[in-house]
Amino acid sequence: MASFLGKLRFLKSPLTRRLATSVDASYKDSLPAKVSGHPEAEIKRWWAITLWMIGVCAVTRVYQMMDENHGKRPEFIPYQHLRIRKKAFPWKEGSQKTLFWCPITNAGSEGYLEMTPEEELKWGKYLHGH
Amino acid sequence: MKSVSNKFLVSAKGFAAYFFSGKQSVVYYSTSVVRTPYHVVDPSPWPMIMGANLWGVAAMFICWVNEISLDSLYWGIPLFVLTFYSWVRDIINEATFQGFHTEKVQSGLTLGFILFLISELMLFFSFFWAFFHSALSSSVEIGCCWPPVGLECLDWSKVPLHNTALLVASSASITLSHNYLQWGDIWVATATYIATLGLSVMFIKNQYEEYAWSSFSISDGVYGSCFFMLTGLHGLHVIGGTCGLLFCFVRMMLLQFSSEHHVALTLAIWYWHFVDIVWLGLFFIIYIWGS
Repeated sequence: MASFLGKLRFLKSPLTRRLATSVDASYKDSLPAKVSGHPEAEIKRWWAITLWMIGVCAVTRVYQMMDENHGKRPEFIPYQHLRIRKKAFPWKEGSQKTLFWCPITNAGSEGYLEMTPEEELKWGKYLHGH
Repeated sequence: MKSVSNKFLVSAKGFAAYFFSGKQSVVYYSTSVVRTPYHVVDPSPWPMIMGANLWGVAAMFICWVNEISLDSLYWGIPLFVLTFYSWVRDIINEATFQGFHTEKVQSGLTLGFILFLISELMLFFSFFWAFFHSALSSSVEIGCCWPPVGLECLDWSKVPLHNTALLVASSASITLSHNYLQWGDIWVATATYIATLGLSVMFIKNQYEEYAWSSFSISDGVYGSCFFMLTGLHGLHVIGGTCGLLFCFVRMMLLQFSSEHHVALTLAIWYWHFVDIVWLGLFFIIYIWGS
């Protein structure tokens, strides 16, 4: 226990250095060659881009949530080119169920499968309405 | 002949001392002082062990898929974690604490990483080729049309558009974080870095939700195969990129980066931009054009 805490001492200097004041704002002395000539303008530009994109994210998220329709079940037609089951997947029930199996929207090769009790607990409320 | 065999014995002794003591040993052969800016790496067992280990991991995957017993192969995962940790620890020691990474070494690492990114691009290029092969001349089995008959495509203006916004925002915020690090202000760099990590986690969660509710799967003909191969591979790259960014975040918190010298962080950011660009390609080609 003591040796484990002793090994954590490598964190001591970074933490104490961080709590000290950050680099002085006279950046012109230490300006690295790679940064462009006007860092304030560049940083302002990237702040603008970032904040606008976060706004766009919020809008698209609201738009995405508006049309969420989890209970809908597509009509089943036994097409030959869909739901191909030539080789079983290497997990339990791999002969019918894919990895991200959704018992509401995914059908087996002959039709929609009966839900197991675990699936009923998780997905049942979407299928039968709230 | 005698001098050659002596050198071999001495370097083997150095190698053994390194391997069994777990720390950098003094190498006994009398070389001249290094006068070049290049880094001649000390003998290290990790590449060889990693090579054998990756064989074991590949064998594990093959056995799992073909339902052969995995009992003799479970050593693969813990050995991978140990080898990876040891190798990366050695590189960090050589770079940050021993100062071997001169400008020349940094540019060499950067060039190597660019070549790696090009190889990743080729990987995605091949799957895009497969997609275009099937989409541009749809075969009669799927109904001579694209998307195939009976397949409900995802609406591109819902989940995929939000995912695009998330990734572009995360690219912008990581660039901002990088600029602040170069400027010297580590606090704002940390805050914007955490925002980037948050946005990428939101992307992964959103993509998982989409997968969980999708009405088609990978075994739904060539459309399903192409779609899930491309988006799945991209998702794995996002997860890997996030792990890389997280690792660099920890190193940044431990103050192992300076405002001028932070090769690992720069390369992780480039990887993230690459992942973003591949997603834009996926979005416009697979989701919008392909539906």
